[in-house]
Amino acid sequence: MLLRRFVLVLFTAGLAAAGDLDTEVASVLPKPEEERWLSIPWRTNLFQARLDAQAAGRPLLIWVMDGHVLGAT
Amino acid sequence: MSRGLLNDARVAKRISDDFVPASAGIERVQPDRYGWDESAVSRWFVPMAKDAFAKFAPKGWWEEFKTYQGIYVVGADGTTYAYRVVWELPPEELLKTLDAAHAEFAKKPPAKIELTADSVRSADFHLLDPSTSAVRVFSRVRPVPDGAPEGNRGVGRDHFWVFAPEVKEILDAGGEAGASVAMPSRIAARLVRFTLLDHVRNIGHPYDESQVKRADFPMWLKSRTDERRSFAFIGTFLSERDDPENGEQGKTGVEGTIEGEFEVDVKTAKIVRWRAFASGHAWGQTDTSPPKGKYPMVWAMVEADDATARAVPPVWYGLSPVWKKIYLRPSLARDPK
Repeated sequence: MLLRRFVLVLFTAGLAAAGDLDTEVASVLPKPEEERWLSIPWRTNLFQARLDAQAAGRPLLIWVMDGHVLGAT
Repeated sequence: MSRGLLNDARVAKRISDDFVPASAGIERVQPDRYGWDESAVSRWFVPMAKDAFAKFAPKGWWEEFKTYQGIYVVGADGTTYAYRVVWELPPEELLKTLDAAHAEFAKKPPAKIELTADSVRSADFHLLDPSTSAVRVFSRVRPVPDGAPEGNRGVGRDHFWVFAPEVKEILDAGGEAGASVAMPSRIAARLVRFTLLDHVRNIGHPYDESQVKRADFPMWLKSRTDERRSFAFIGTFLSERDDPENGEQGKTGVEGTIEGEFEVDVKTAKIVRWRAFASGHAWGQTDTSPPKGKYPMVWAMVEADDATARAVPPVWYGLSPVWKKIYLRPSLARDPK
């Protein structure tokens, strides 16, 4: 317990500045060319999409995979 | 992966301009795949998919994989115009399919449909409760080892949910800036069992309580006002499994360190900002193309409050009712430190 507290104090004192954390986070985020598929106006409600398709006079394009495709790998 | 196909600028434009695009997890439209109950949506989707498979799927595909995953072009009434398996599909092939399907749609337009407001509402399967906080999670293999399959250059995605009682538990701890605050065990368990996984090539499999060997996340209060409190945490994690039935591929694991900070709106007990970065290693994994041996991983977590975050659940919460139950109340072994 004491050791854990000591480690906590050390980290509290030495934790990367907020700017560093933001930089590290940003380095992992998708680049624009990796997110072009998100520019497509995906509907997540299939029945609303059917109504929208009818109103627009267009066919539906439905993409289904294991796990919701907009949130999973 | 199909997302690479849809990242092609020509494909994205064609779909956006000439179709009404919709997306879903197969688990809810083909509910017997992972144990969900039938729904109005699945009762519409499954007969449509069967018809599309009969017309367009590769011979023997259903018999081999028993899944309706892929891309469909259909009318609002369920008339099928195209289906493609998309795992290895070149963009040019998909564009040809879209051209042909659109021409067929013009020749044989769908019948008019009517849907009640209730049935439309029933098609929202996992809307985020307003009291729940959502965080987006990204993972990468970094650096990608020499010779590793191309799929390792992608980005893994997931959502991470934190529930209001857990945030209230943090707020109730009180204290002044610098005070140690215990991270609620369910948050720690959800992080290590469901979130800090390798989702880069495919959905990473979560860990059971007994497979978590280390999950230590010291946390402290950074600052407080009447309206907001901010917290920081650091930590180490290690999970591993050895499934002898799968031989060498059954030996999988992930380990690493994480640092993060988040800010809570006191009145609503909602997380309004979350930033975390983790780095470590993974090994094994259950898909067919991870790098060999232990390979380096990084993760980033950022709060999310857009339409997708409100409609799309964490992958294991949404995948099956069994995993949803565990995601809501995950536990850790008595002391996995």
